[in-house]
Amino acid sequence: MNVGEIIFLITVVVTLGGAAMAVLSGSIVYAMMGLVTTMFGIAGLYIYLESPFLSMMQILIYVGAVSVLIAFAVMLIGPLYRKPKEWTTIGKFAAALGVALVSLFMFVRFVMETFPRAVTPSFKITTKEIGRLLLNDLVLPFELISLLLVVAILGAIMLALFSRGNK
Amino acid sequence: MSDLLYNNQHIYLFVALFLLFCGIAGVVYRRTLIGMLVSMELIMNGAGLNLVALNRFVSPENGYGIAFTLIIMGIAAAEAAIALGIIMLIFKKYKHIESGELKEMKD
Amino acid sequence: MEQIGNMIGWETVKMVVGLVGVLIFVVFNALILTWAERKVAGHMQRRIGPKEVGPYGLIQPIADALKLLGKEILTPRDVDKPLYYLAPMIIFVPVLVSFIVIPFSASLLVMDINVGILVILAFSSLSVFSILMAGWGSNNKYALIGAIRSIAQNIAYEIPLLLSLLPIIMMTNSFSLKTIVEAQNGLWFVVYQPLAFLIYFIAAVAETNRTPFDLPEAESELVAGYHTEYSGMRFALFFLAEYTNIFIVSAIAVTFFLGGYQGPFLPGIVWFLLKSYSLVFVIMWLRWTFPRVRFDQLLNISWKALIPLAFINLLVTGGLLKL
Repeated sequence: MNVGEIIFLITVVVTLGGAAMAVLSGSIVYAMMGLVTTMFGIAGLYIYLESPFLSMMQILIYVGAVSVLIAFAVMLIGPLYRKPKEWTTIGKFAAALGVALVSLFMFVRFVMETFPRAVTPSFKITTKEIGRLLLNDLVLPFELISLLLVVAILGAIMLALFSRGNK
Repeated sequence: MSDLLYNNQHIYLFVALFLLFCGIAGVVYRRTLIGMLVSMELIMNGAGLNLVALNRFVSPENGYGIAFTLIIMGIAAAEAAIALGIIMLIFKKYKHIESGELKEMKD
Repeated sequence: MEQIGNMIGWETVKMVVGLVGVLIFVVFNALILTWAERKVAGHMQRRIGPKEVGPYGLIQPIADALKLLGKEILTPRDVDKPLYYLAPMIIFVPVLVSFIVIPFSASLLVMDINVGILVILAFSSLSVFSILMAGWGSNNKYALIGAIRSIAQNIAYEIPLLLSLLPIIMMTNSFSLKTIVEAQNGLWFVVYQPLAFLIYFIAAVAETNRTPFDLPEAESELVAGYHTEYSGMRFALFFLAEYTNIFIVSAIAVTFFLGGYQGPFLPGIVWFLLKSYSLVFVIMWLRWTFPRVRFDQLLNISWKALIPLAFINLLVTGGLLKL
């Protein structure tokens, strides 16, 4: 059990704990903090999966942009809005537990058999190859996502104009 | 090398499954719209982790998983932006963001 | 020493020594910058700065530190405790991580990560969260408004920062900072990319919340911005992080545009510190030269002027590289 494995276990625990906090906590601010913790944990897991570029992109895009966006919305809505009451009935809780157990069973039985634990191959994909892939094979998703981002910008501008007056 | 804890793909797939489960539970369980959005981000993160883990262990000769995860990140960012715009407008009009109370389109 | 090295592994030992060195440097840097700020401010305003405490006022920062440490740590009653206590600690994470990858000289580098610049950029977007937690956790209207303004300024100026560093990455085909410094052996990059240097400098000054862009923490508005409710040691931590941030952005500018640690006669680290501290002096000079920019003018400068210029620069660089 060397240092690498210990830090890996800590990263996994941080990820799982953050996800639990994002779902189960009382106020929206703590849910958002749980989301940020989960994203950091996933960035750590990407480093263990030997893709450091993706790990830094995860922090840059998710923690640096998306979480800040959600945090901005929480801060603008927050002070006027206190803790809501979530739906808690015993039936729903039992159903959730049942679904969790069934999915765990399917995971252990089917997924772990389909991908048996063979010799771990070596993985050397550099940023240059990802770039070539995005422009050679995956050029259609690349162009579609730029179209999606333009549409999203236009949509956001229209929403801002709606909120200002009867335009 | 294969006996190190982090060279085993099952634990990454399990973490991705747990994130997916938490995300779906959050979308059903959470009452505020922003809580649902946070859970949606969890689902997308879980999907991305799944793709990268399978890319690294099952087909390591190309980088399709990583490139697709980058595209998923872009989609998640665009979707969060638009969703938050809509949430702000709803808050301006109705003065609350509880999804149970938004009943105008209901018969 | 040999046994420790063989037991834990030389890499770990080198990293721990590097981290301890970085922490010592951070503290010394803060002391030097506090003194330099007051002296520069004094001389710019045609007066001498502090001169009572020690020769040329050199022991003044230690007196300031002792005063801040001796203050009573007041915690207001209704603060949101986890957020309020975590905010001063999280503001240090981007700063320390940036120190890990910057090459101080040809061999003084804690770790040469091959996505080095991405690490710095990714973690610098994390300082936004510390401001947010300080503003929200203080349970104070003025702190919240100051935090929102500060976040809007921070995210607006992150984009020109990123875009102005991209042409350099395109020119050297690598993210690693050591490779970028080595590639400036012939001619510094500021000659090839003067516009990118200007855009980076303006965006960096805005990122560190220095005048002329310091509306979020201005002394005559909004009480004191997002760190209104912090006193004593915690306030000292915020200030420490701000001064270290000034040094980090100057160090990155030196590494990317001004040749890093390269120079004719003196050893590498002396050149590096010389160049970094001259840029720090320029940043301090700007504080007492320009008036404060109004908030809408601040955002306009970023979105309407800096981002289109950075995009044009990127396009022209890409075009010229491929011809």
